[in-house]
Amino acid sequence: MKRFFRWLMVPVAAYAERFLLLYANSQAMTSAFKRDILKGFHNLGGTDNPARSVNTSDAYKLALYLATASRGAGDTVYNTTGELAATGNYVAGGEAVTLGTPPALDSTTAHVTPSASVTWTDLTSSGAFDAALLYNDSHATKYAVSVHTFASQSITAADFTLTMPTNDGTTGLIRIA
Amino acid sequence: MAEILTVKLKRNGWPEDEAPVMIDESLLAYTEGGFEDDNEITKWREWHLDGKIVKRAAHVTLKKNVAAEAVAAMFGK
Repeated sequence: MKRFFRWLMVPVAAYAERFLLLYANSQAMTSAFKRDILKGFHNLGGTDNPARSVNTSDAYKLALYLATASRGAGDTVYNTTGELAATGNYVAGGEAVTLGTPPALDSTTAHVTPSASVTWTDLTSSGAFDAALLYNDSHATKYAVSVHTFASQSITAADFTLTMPTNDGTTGLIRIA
Repeated sequence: MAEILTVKLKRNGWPEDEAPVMIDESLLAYTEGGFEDDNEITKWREWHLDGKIVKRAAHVTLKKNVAAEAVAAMFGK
C-alpha cells in the first residue's frame, strides 16, 4: 500500500511543481492603487498639496521579490510572501525611494518617477529575483502601488542598482493617461 | 594596480556557509555583459574563482513602465 502511494505521489508532486512554476511576477499598476488614489490614500507629490492639511509626501519603498513569487496587479498591500529573505544585507521591506519631483502633466498624461536610483549595497540575494514592488510605507497598511519586473538577477557580495526611467508622459514610472 | 575585493567563498567543512572574505582582484577571472530590450537595459559584472561566481553585481535601468487610463463617463451612458 505504501509503495502504491509512493508511486502515486511522484506524478502528483511533478504536476504540483509544474503548477507552481506557472506563478510569475507581472508588471502592473495595482488595481487597488487606482482605487486608493481616488480615496486620497497616497501623496507622491512633495509639499505642493494645498487640498490637504498634511502637506508632505508619503514615504515609499521598493521591495525585491524572488522569480518564483506571484506579485502583480492583484496586490493590495506590501506582502512578504516571495520577498527576498532578510539575509546577505537585504532588509525586509526593501529600500526607500526618493521622490524629489512632484507628479506633473506631460500634455494629457500625469506622471511621477522617483528622482534617484535605488541601490541595495553589498547584497547577496537569497535567490534569483525579477520584480520590485513599490508601496506606501507611511501607512501601517503599506498600500501597494505597482510591480516592476526585469530579467532575473542573482547578486553575490555586490551592489544591485535599479535606475528609474525618464520622468515624462511616455516613460515615467507611474503614468495616468 | 589590483584591488582587494570582498567575495563569497565556501569554507572547507562548511559547504552551506559562504563567508565574505577579502581577496586580491588579480586572482579572479572577470567578465561583464548586458542586454537591452523594450523593458530594460541591464549590465552585469561577475568575478569567478575556480569557475564559480564569487561576486556578481547588476545594474538595471527600467524603460517600460506601468500606466492607467483615466476615464470620465458621460451621464446617461
